[in-house]
Amino acid sequence: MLKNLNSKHIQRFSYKYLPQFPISPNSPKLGFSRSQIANYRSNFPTTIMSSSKTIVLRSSDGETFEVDEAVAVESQTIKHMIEDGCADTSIPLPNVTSKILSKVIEYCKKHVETPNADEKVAEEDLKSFDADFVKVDQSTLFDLILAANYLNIKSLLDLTCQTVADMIKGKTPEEIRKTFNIKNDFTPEEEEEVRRENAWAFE
Amino acid sequence: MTESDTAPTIFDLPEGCVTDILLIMSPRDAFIAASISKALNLAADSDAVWERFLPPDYHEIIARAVSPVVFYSKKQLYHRLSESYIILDRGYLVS
Repeated sequence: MLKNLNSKHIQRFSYKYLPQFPISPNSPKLGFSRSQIANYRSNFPTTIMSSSKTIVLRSSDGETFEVDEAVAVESQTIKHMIEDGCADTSIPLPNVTSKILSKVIEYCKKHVETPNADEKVAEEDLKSFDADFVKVDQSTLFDLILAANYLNIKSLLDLTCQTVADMIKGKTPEEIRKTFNIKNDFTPEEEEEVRRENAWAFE
Repeated sequence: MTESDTAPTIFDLPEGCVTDILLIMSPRDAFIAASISKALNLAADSDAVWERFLPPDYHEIIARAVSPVVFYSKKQLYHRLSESYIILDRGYLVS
């Protein structure tokens, strides 16, 4: 009594059994209805589609930090290490202390979590986060620049360099020396020569 | 290695970072930076900084000049372009 099974019959059977398996309903082949998809999504907010892989980062003082891969790859350096297969157990970062690494991770997390949509509220929120983020002492600020440079996180590097530039802008050389504790190593003659060479800029 | 012993200063930044900072500022601020200390003088007078202050098509502009534009550093070229005239295209206006 077995009819010749054709592809239509086989498809029907597979539809009956498939919902048990954790396959995303977004595939067009499966043909789930929109309400079924919405229902699936609300029950399983993180589908198996997105891999929530974590990466372990190790600071110079031996502390480990577990972060989502999406956060870790804000750093191009780490991203390349993962792509090159150097991230099996943990990624050592000998140039970054735990204090600075925790701050960098906080920055990356915030920037990954904030949606990229052009929503004014999200943009304002991020700007205010960035402004507060750089309200640190000078040595921490320079440590952040060094870390952003080493880890190749362009947005953090731009933010921290802009902060230093703002500290320099509009100040006289003496004020800048005081702010950054820089010793004037010019002799009076050398200083006079530099002033003369650059005089045309101030005409 | 405690942080108080080796607290980084502006001199610990790699050259690329110092250049980036100087580029955010104007040429005028770069002059001020050049008179702060010898190390910053070197960074602020470097071609890397002044190349970015020059207009992007400065090669073309120099090539069209009637008399050859001689310069030994990008900073000097910036000075030359900003303080005096260069006659282009043999003095003919091209509409």
